[in-house]
Amino acid sequence: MTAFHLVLVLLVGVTVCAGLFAATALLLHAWSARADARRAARTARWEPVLLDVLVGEADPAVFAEGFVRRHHGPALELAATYALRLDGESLTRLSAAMAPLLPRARALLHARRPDRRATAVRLLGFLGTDADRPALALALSDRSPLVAMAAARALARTQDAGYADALIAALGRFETWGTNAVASMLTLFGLPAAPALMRAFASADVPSATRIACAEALRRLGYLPAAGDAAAIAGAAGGVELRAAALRLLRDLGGPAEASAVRTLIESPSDVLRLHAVSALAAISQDPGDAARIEHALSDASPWVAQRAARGLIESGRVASLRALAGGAGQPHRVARQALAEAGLVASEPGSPS
Amino acid sequence: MSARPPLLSRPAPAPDAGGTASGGRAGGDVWVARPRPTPPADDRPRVLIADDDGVTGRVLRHRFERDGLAVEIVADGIDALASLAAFPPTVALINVALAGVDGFEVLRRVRAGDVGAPALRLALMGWAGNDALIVRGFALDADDFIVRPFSLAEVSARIRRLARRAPHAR
Repeated sequence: MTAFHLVLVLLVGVTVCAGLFAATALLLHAWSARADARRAARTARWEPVLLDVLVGEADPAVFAEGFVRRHHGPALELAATYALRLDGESLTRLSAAMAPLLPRARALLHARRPDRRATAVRLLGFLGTDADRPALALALSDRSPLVAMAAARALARTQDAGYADALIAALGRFETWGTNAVASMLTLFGLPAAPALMRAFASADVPSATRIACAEALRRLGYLPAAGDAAAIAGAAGGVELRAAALRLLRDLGGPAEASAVRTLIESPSDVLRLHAVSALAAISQDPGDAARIEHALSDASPWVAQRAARGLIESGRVASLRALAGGAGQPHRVARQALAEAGLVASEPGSPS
Repeated sequence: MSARPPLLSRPAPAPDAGGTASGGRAGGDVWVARPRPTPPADDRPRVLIADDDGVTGRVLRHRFERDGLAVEIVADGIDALASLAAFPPTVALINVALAGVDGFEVLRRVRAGDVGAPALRLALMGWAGNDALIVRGFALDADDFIVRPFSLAEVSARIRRLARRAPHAR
């Protein structure tokens, strides 16, 4: 075979492969479009009836009887999109309407494909009963992170604080989740989960990221008894992020009893800790000595700390002292003027009331 | 609710029954929706829903229309501002996380008299888990804050209450 023939064969081969590839792509596109059209048609057919179930104009017990077996999965999927947005009597009605279809979701829990198991977990989380919760807790240790994440969200949505410990113990698997996302999820359990969150927050054996998320959840829940542990953690040796989380908690939930722990961190070599300490101290202490410390922080080497100190003075009602500083030319005076301007509190002329 | 024919029936009636969700045997499902009554036009209190989530919009529209309210839905803050002038609503329900102009900014402009009636009854809407949003909403003089996920009965009661208390409520 000559080189010419070899090139020719290669070209023909490449052309055939490209053609097959294009044909496959077209087929997949057509298949996907057809599936989308079918889904849209099903939604258009089912949704008005589902909406009537939700507003109490249709009997939930009758709704599920109208679906043929092959539509149980898609019907559950449609219901789940509504369940995500509903609570109270609306969710109760929806769950009642879909209850006869749930065996389909329970069967999917044992599917080989992780995406199907995750779907089953999600559906049972939205529409399942109390009896489904142990299966959701078991799914936290599923070999697929996708399933475990779906189980975590589903369990949190149940608001059953009895599963808070199990969920917190599994958080180490979700390293890609941000603190806010994890804290939001934990907050769904509500105040009954606070003891579990406290245990994790205070335990040195728990990963730092989990402790930070628990601190944030406790802060959002407004659980005042957490302030004592937060003061101890803020003052102890440890990671800056964890101690900063403790200081954020103290800012919102602390009081004069925790001020001494915060006060020492005003002089921390860490900018992050100084920033959060200034913010917390301004919020929890009315001590004149602390006010002087916060004013001193207007001269901090870090502009972020200085600005936070100025905002802290405003938020704690010490506008007069900030206005008194606004007239000079050095860093603290500039910071004071900037903070007053940002807050819409134009610096007053000397002698005028604050 | 006045007496109405049952929504669902088995077996399905003829496909030309006139239901808006005329399932019939199509796709194998057997239930069928009854015809929808035409709402009276149109001295009803008006509700503007500004939310980029279509599912939430549809479910709220369904509830509010059965409450005797006229509903307009927009998907972003710019359209919300336009509808406040053009619709104009008795009550506005605005998602705080709208694209472009967010719900807080819509509220601020309303209260500043830049758009719509400054005394418009305006409720904000946001997801649970961030109390700071609620605090900020009330600081900007929102009349209410609807937290998702929600109960339709509760949202309905809150919005109807705002409609009753609106200035020049009809």
